[in-house]
Amino acid sequence: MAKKRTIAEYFDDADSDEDLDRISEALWSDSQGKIVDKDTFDLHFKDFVGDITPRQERFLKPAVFRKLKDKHPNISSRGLFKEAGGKDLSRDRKTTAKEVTTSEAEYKRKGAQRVDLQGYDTKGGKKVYNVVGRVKGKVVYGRKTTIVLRGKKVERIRDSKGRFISTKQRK
Amino acid sequence: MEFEILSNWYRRADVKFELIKQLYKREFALLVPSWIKDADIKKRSTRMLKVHNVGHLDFVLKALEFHEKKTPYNFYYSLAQYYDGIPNQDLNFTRRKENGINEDWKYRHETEMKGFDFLLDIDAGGHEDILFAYESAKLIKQFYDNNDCPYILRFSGKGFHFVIPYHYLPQFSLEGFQDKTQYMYYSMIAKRLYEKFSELIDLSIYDSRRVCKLSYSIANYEDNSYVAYPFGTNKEFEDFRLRDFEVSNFDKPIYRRGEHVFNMSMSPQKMLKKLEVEHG
Repeated sequence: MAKKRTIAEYFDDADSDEDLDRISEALWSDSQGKIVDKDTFDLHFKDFVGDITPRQERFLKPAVFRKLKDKHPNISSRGLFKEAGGKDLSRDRKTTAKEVTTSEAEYKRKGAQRVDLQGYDTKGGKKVYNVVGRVKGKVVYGRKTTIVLRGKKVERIRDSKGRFISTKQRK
Repeated sequence: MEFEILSNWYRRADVKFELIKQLYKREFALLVPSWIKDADIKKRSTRMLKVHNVGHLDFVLKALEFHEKKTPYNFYYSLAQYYDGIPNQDLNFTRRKENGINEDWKYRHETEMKGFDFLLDIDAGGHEDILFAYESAKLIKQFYDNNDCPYILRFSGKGFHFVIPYHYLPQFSLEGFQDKTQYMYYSMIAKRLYEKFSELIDLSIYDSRRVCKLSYSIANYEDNSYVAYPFGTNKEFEDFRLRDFEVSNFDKPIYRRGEHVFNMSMSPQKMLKKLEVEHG
């Protein structure tokens, strides 16, 4: 069964300075330069890296942040969002914020009410999308779910948007 | 796979000449596949190799004792092309570390860079899902063709690579940590294609030191080995069958084949406009 690759797997034993340079650079590209503080870093890192091991959480993540901060001294080491009075949105599954601010001033001016967060589920456990299929002319990753059809439990594959997907391969 | 097959492959003159063509003024890297967990073998991965002719290639393989140590290297080249290639290297690794050329290059390479190709990597994850990767490649190929976008298309061993040479694309800063970089731009294009066509597109590959598998090299996997091969015609792509690319079954032409650029005389502008990324 194919598993969606994560950057954490690529850099499982990332320890050289060069590896760290490359991860932080790729993260910076992926975020389109929107990392301004520790909070936005955490969000983009989580999004970019995927599931990481505790060791990587402890060593890789701070090392990448330090690298990024070396290159961009304006990135704040503080969690500006929380300091401005917001709660830690990464722990709130209901959050559907839509905007990223680009400076500390703007962050505080807006009262830190909205930050970019895709809303990953911390209560429901990790969702593993490891089955490849297609839906509406697009190739997607899905996961196995069980639904009840006429009183019977049936296995179906859904993608991250909850759509049923077909896993039949065709040429 | 028997190492002898791998070894013989890289003794072939036609293969070596095709490899060399792609390495002009680029970095060459020999990387041990990630499925090998033996630390002793893993540490044999070597980057920053300068290879501009067949003699160079033979010399590097000899210096790294490729044929003797039987290391199942995968062959890579940098997406970056440099004005004068990478610095000349010492293949004595102790001396290499001492002389600090590579350390210096780390800070200098972006200013020496002439351009950086756009790679779209469609990765099947496992060979059992290769037809989904093929389907993704078909969707993207159709999109590129409908919009007259020039590209090179290759089978990569476990998926497909679309490469658009840098001279076709808008240019931004090649320094990785600027506010608007070439890598950010490429990441944005890849994300649009990901949203539109396939989640098998790898989005984590956009940094200035990225390397890509060489066409005509062998991609080694735990279960089998495949020839990374560029498609020369639409028909060749339509007739794709995984087993034809297994090294043991491979009988496609190589001699003086090069890489075909589909829609070579066109421009990617229409495609970029469709994705709403024409200005970055």
